[in-house]
Amino acid sequence: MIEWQFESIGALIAMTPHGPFVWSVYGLGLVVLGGLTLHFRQSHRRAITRIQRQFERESEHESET
Amino acid sequence: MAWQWFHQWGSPRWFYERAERWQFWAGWIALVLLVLGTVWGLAIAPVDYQQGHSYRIIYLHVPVAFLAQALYLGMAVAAVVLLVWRMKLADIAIQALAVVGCAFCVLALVSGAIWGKPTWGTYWVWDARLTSMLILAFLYLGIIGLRSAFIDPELAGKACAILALVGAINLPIIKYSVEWWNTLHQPASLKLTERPAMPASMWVPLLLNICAYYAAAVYLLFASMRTLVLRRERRAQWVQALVRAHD
Amino acid sequence: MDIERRIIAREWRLVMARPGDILKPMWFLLVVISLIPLALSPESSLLAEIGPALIWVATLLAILLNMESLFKDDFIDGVLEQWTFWPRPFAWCLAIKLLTHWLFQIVPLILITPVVGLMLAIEVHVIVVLLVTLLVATPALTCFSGLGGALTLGATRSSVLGVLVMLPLFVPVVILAAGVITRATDGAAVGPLMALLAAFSLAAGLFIPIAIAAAIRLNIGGST
Repeated sequence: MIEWQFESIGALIAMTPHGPFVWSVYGLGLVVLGGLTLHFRQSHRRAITRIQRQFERESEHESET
Repeated sequence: MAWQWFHQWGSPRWFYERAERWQFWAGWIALVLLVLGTVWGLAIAPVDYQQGHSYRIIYLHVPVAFLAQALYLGMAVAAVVLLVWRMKLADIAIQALAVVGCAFCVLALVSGAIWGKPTWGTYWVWDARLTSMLILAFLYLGIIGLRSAFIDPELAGKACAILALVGAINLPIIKYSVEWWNTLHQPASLKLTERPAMPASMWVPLLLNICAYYAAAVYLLFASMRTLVLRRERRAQWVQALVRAHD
Repeated sequence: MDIERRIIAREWRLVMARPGDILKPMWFLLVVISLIPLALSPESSLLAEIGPALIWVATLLAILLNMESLFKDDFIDGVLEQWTFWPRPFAWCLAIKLLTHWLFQIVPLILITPVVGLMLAIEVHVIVVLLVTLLVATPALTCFSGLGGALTLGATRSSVLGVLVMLPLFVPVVILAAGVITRATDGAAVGPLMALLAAFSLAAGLFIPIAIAAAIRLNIGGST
C-alpha cells in the first residue's frame, strides 16, 4: 500500500501531464498559508512596538508635568 | 463549574495567555500533519485511473473548501455569542474568522478552477459547488467590507454579527437553490466525487490533510485574535505590563 | 391601528413631497434596458430570450438604488428613535414602513416592466409571469435592501457597500424567479415554484425586520 509512485524527483515534478496544475495549486497554498502566518506574526510584533512607543510617550509626558 | 469555564472566555487577558500555548501546539501539529499528508498525497497515494495525477489537487482543495464552510459556521456561532452575551472576544473571533475564512474560500475557488482545466477542459464551470463557493466568498468579503466601513469598532462588530447571522441562515437556502438551478441547466456528468469509494491509500492522506488544515486554521485564528486583543486592550494594565516586560 | 395608520400616512406624505424618488428607479430601469439592444444586437429573438433575466437584474439594481435613503433620513431626524418608544414592537413598525415603501415605491416600478418587456420583444404571457414573479419576490428584496441600509447607517464610507453586502443574499430569489420564467417560456406549470418564492418572501418579511430593528438599535445606542 505504501510505496513511492514516482521513479525519480524529475518524474514527481513533471507528473505528466498534470505537473503545472498540481504544483501551481500547492504553490499557491503555500503562498496563502505562509503569507497569512507571516502577516499575523508581523502585525503582532507591530502592535507590541506601537503600544510600547505610546507607553513611552505617555510616561515622558507625565514626567514633564 | 461549566459557567465558570464559559466566563473565562470573557476575559481577554485569560485568552491572550492561554492562546499563546494553544497557538504554539496548533502550529506544530499543523506543520507536521501538513508535511505528512501532502507528501503522502503527492508522492505515495496511487494514481487515479480516470484523472491521472491531476486528482492530487484534492489533497489541498477538499480540506480548504471544507474549512471555508466550517469557518463560516464558526463565525455564525461567534455572532450569536456576541449578540446574546456581548462577549468582546466573540467580536474579535468574528473579525479573525472572516479574514482566515475568506482566504481559505479564495484558495478553494482558485484550486478548484485550476483542477477544472485538466478535468473539464476549462477553468470555470458554473458547477453547483463552485457557484455556491463563489457566493460564500462574496459573503465573506461583505463582512470584511462592512467592518472596514466603520470607525467605531463596537458598532462594526455588532453590525458584522447581524450580517453573519443572516448570511448563515440564508446559506443553506443558497446552497439548495444553487444545486437545484444546476440540475436544471447541466447534465449530472460533471459530478466530481460521486464515484466508487476511495481506497484507503487515497483517503488516509486526505483525512490527514483535513486535520492538518483544521490545525492550521486554529493556529492562524489564534495568531490573528491575539494581535486584535492586544490592540483593543492597549489601555489595560495587563497589556502595559506585558509590553514593558517584552524587551 | 392608529399607530400603523400614522406610519403609512407619513410615508405617503413623504412620497408626495418628493415624487422624484419614485421616478428615479424607473428612469434607471428604462435607461439600462435601452442600452441592452445597443450593446448586444437589435435582433428580437435574442432579446426575447435574455430579456426576462435582464429585466430581473435591472429591477434588482433599481431597488437597491435607494437602499441607503430608506432609513437614513428617518434616522437622522430622530423618527426611528421615537418609534422605539411606541407601544408596538420596533420591528413591527419597521415592517409596516417596509411594506408601505414596497407599496408606494417598488410596485410602481414593477408596473412599468410590461412596457420594458415589450421593448425587448418578450411574449405577452411571459411578461405576465415576469410581472407576477416580481410582485411576489420584491417584498423579500425590499427587506434585504432595508437590512443593507440599516447595517450601513453608522458606516462612514458606505457608498456602494450596502449593495455589495446584500447582493449575494439575493441569490435564491433570483434563481427561483428565473426558474419560474424558464418554465413559463417552456409552457410548464409554475405553481409550486411560485409558492416557494412566496414562502421565501413571507419568511423574509417575518424575520428580516427583526434583524433590521437590531441593526438600527445599535446605532441609536451609539449616538446617545
